Amino acid sequence: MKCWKTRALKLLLPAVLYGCFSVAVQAANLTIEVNKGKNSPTPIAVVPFAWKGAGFSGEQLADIVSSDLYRSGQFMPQDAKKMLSSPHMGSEVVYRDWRMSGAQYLVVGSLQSGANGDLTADFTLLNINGEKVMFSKSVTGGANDLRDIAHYISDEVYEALTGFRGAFSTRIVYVRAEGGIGREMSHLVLADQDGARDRVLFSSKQPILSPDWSPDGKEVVYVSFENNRHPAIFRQVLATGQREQLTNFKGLNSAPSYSPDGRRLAMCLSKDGNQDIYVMDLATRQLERITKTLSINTEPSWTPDGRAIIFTSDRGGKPQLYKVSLAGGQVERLTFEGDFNAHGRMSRDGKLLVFAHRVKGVFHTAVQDVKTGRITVLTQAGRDESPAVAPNSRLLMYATEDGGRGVLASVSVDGGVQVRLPSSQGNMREPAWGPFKPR
Amino acid sequence: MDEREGDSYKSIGWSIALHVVIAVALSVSWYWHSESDTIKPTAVTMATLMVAPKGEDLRRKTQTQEAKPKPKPPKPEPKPEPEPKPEPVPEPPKPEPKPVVKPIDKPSPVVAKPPEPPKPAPKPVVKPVDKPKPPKVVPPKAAPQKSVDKKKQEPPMPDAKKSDKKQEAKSLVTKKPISKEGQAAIEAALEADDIHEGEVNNDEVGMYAALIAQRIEQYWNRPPNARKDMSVVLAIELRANGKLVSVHTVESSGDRAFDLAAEDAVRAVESFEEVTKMKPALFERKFKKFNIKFTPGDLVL
Repeated sequence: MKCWKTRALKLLLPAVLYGCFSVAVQAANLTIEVNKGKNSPTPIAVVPFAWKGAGFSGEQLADIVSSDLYRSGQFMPQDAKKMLSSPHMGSEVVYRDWRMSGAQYLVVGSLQSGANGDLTADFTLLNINGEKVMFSKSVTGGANDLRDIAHYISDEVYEALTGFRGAFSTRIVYVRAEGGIGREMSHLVLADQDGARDRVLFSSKQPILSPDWSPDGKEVVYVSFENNRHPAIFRQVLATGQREQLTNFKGLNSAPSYSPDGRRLAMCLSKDGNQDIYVMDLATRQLERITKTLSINTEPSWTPDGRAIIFTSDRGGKPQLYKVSLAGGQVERLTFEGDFNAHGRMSRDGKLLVFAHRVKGVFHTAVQDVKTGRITVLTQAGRDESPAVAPNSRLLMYATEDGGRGVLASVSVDGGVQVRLPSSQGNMREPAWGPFKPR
Repeated sequence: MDEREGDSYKSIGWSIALHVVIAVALSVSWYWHSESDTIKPTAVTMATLMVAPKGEDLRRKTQTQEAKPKPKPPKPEPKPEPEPKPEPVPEPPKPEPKPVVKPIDKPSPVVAKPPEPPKPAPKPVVKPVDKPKPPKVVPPKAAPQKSVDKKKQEPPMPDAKKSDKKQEAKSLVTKKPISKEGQAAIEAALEADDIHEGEVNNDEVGMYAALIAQRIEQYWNRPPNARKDMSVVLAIELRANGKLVSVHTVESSGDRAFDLAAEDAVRAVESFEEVTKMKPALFERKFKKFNIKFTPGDLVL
C-alpha cells in the first residue's frame, strides 16, 4: 500500500512539472499585432571612403554607391555633408550617434592602391539599431575601375538588405539619335546601368532600332537601315566590334530577340506578306514561322523558360499582348486593360510582365503580375516607351521625354523613385538591359 | 516474481493513463489560451507618442487596375474583331485611401515617452481616445469592461486578501474543463510561485499591447515592395526596465527587406517604457517574452 503511494507520487511528479511548463508557455504566448507604419525608402548612410591617392576622391566612390542605392527605390542615402563623423572601419562607428541621424544602415570603408596601381576597397555594412556588423568584404580592381568597385559594393549591400541580387554592375545599350534635318545620325551606345561610361558601338546616318543583348552579354543584335534604307538585322560582338548581317528578307526585318539559351533569335518579318513572328536557329539559320494571321504580330520576346514568346498583336482590333507556346502553338491573350499594350517583356523571375500601356492616349509604363493579372502603372509622364527589365527583375528602364528630348529613366517595379539617366546630347531611345556579369 | 510483474504492469498502466489524462488536459488548456491570446491593438490614439508624419508617400501614388478576373480564352480568329472589352476603360480614380494620421491630430511630436501613469493602476494619459477604456481603479465598480478578449471576462480585481486572489486565480484557471491532475498541477505551480499575485487582466494586456504596437508603428518603415498580405512574426524579449534583450524572426515573410524592416522597428525603440509601468507580475507573465506580428494592413496593395 505504501508502495502504491510512492508510485502515485512518482507518477504525479511529471504532471506537476508539465503543469509548470505549460503555464510558462502560456505566458510567452502573447502576440501583438502591428498593422500600421511608414512607407519610405530605408535610410542608409554611405560614408566617404578613406583614400589618400590622387585622381578621384573617396567621396566619389561613396557617391556612386549612394546613387546606385537611391535609384533602386529601396534606399534613401544620407547626404555625406551632413554626417557628423567619418568612420572608415566598423570599430570606429559610434552607434549611438548614427542612431540619432536616423540611418538604419551604414556603409564604411577605405580604398588602397597596390604596388601595380590596383585599387582595393575594404568595406563594411553595419546595422545601426542592431549595433552590429552585417558583413566586412573586400574587392580589388584595376586603377581605372573605380566605378566597377563602387557598383560591386552597391550590389553587395543591396543583396544583403533585400535578398535580391544587385544589378548595379550590369550594362545597358540604347539608341541615341542626334543632328538636325539632313544631318541625322544614329548611334548604338553601350553604358553602365547608371548611364555612365557611355561609348558608341556603331553609328549610321540611317536609323538604328531595337537593340537586344545575347544572354552571355557578349553580343548585341539590332536593326539597321544602313543598306539602302532597307531594314536588316545585325549582330555585333562587343569586345571586337565585329558585325554580321543576319537577315536580308524582303519587307520588314525587325525586333530581334535572343532566346534565353542564346541559340535562337525571334524576330518579326513580313516576307510572306504579313507581319509575323519567326524564330531563327542561329547555328543553322533555319527559320520557323510562329504566327500566321492576317493581323500584325510583332515585338517578340521570350518567356524566361524559352518555351513561349510574348508578342504584340492587333488581332483583337487594338494592339494587345499575347503569348504563343512554341510547342503547341496555342495563343493566349495576356492584357485586357487599356486601348494599347505593346513592347511586352517578362522579368527574368517570370513574375512580371512589363509593357508600354496606353490609356486614353497617354503612354505609361506598366507591370502586370503574371499570377493575379493585376496591372500597376509605374510611370505617369505620358510618353513612356519601350521598358526594359533589369536582370534581377527589380528595376525597369524606359524611354521618356523631358523638355522635348528623349531621355532614359529608371523606376523600381514597386513604383519607387523615378530617376533620369544623364544625357549629354540627342535623343535616347530603346534601352536594352544586359545580363548579370558571371560571378 | 508473479506479484512483482503484475505490480509493474499495473504501474505502467497507471502511468500511461495518467499521462494521457494530463496530455488531454494540457492540450485543452493550451487551446483555450492560445486562441484568445492574440491581441489586436485597439484604436487607442496616444497623442504624445506620435511623430508627425512626413507627408504622403509619393511612391504609393501608383494607380492600380484590377485585371479582369477571367481572361477570355484566346480564339484564333482570322479577321480582326472588335475589342472584346468595352473601350474607354474608365480609370478608376483611386482616392488614396490614406487614413494616415494628419499632423494636426498629433499636437506634440515630442520624444516618444509615454506619460507617467498613475501608480495604483496603469492608466496611460491618453488624450484623443477612440474607444475609452474604463480606468482600472483599485476598488472597481462592476463596470462593463470592453474586453479585447472574447472569452469570459473576469471582474476587475479588488485589492482583496491574498487568499481571495488565489481563489480567483484558481477559478480563472479552472474555468476550462480540466482533469483533477492537471488542475492539481496548475495549482501546484501557482503555489510554487507567486505568479498569481498580479492577476492577468485582459483589459490591461490589451491596453499595453496597443501601446506597444503604437510605439513600434512609429519606427516601422516598410520597404517599397511590402504588400498588405505579407507578414512576419518576431519573438522579442524585454527586460523589466523596458530595454530589448533580443529580437528574432520566428516566421519569415519570405522577403528579406520586409523582415529586416520589422526587426529594425523593434530595435529602433530605445525603451519599451510601457513595461516599466505595469505590475511586475503582468510583465513576467505576458510582456517579458512575446511575439509581434507585422502585417501592413494599411497598404493599398
